[in-house]
Amino acid sequence: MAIGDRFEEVLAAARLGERGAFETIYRDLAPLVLGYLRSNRARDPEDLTSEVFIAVVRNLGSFTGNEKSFRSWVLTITHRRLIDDFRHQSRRPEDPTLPDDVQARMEPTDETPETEVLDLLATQSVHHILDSLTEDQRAVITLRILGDMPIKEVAAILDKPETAVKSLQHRALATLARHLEGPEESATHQYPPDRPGR
Amino acid sequence: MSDRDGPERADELVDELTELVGDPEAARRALDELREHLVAPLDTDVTNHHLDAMVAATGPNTDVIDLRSRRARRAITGTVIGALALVGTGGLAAAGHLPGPVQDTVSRIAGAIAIDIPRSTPGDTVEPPTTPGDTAPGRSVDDHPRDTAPGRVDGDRGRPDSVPGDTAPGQQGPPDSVPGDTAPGQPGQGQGQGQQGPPDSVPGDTAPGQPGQGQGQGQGQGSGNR
Repeated sequence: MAIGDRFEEVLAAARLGERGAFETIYRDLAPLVLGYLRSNRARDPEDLTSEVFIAVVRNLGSFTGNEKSFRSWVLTITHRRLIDDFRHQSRRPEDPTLPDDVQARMEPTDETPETEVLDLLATQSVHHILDSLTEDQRAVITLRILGDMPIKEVAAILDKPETAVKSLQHRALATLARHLEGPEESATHQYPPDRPGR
Repeated sequence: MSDRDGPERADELVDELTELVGDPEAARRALDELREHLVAPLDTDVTNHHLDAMVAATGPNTDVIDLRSRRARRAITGTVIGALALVGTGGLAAAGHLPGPVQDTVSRIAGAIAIDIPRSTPGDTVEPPTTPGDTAPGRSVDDHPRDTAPGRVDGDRGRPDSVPGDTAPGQQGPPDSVPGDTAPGQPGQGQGQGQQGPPDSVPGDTAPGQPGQGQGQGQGQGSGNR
C-alpha cells in the first residue's frame, strides 16, 4: 500500500497537523517501522514506533522530497531510534520475555488450534532465521525486504560503504539459503558471528 | 513490495538468492514468506494511541508525556542540586565556617584526596588568659598571641600559666615570675627589668640560658599595664 499521487497533498495536510493525514502516513509506514524494529530486536517495538512517528511529525517541516525519499527518511529515523534503544538496553538488564508477536500469537484467537500452531511455528522459524544473522546482516536484509530500498539507500541509513552492504546482504542470503536447504545444513554452515560496529 | 516503486529491487534479491539455492520459485517464495512475517500489522487500539500521541506532539499543547525526557530532566536537576551542595559545602569548609564536627569530617575527607581544608579550631573554645598584665593598654583580647595563622601550632596557646624559661625572647613573660631570680651569667639584665614588675610576684625558677631577657620583658609589659 502506497500513498501514491496524493502524497504531496497528504504531506501538506500533515504539516498543518491534520489527524487524517497523520493516519494516512501512519497506516502506510507503521507496519514497516514496527516490522523493522521487531525483527531487529528492539525491546519495546510498539513504544519505539510511537516515538518514531512523533519524531516524524515534529520534523515534517525539515523534510523535502518525494514519497520514496520520505520512506527512506522515516526508516532512517527508525534505525537511529533503534540504535538509541540498543544503547539503553546495554545499560539495563535484558528482558527475558518472548518477543511481542510470539506472545500475541500465543493468546487465544478465533483461529483453529492447527492454524495457530502453524502460524506460531512459521513465526518462530522466521525468528530462528533472523537470529542466525548478525545485527548488521539483519538490518540490511530487513531494510531491503521491508523498505524495498536499493543498496545505496541502505548504505546511507546504516552509514556503511555500499560494498560492505552488498557483502552483508550476500552473507545474509547465504544463511537464508542454508535454512531453505534444511536445518542440518544451516546448523553446520554457520558463519562466525561478526559483531556489528554500531 | 513489487507493487511499490521498485519491483526490480525485489528481483535483485530473488536473483541473488536463486543463485544460492538454484530454484527461482523457492527463492521467491522464501522472500515472500519472510516479508509477510516481517511486516507487522498494528492493533487498532495501539494505532489510535499512537495517532493521539502524534496529534498531541504537534498541537498547541506539546507537553506530551515523554518519560525519557522527564527522566533526563530529573537526572539533570539532581546533578545540579548535588553540584551546588558540594560547592557550597566546599566553600564553607575552605573558609572554616562549618560547625566543628562537620568541619573536621569535611577536612578529613578532603585530605584523603589531597585537598587542604582546615580543621575546626580548638582554640576557639579556650578562654583567653585573664591575668592582669597580660594585656597591654589598648590591646584587646583578640590581639593576644593565640591569634595565629590557621594551621600554625602555637606552643603557648592554651598555656596561660606557662613556666618561666619557656618563654621565647619578645614574648610575654609569666605573670608570676620574680625579679632577680635569674640564672647566673646575666643577672644584671634580669634584675634591672624585673624591678618594674608587680610587687606580688614570687621568685620564679627561670631556666639557665636566657632567663633574664624573657622574664624582664614580660614583666615590663605587665607593669606598663598598670
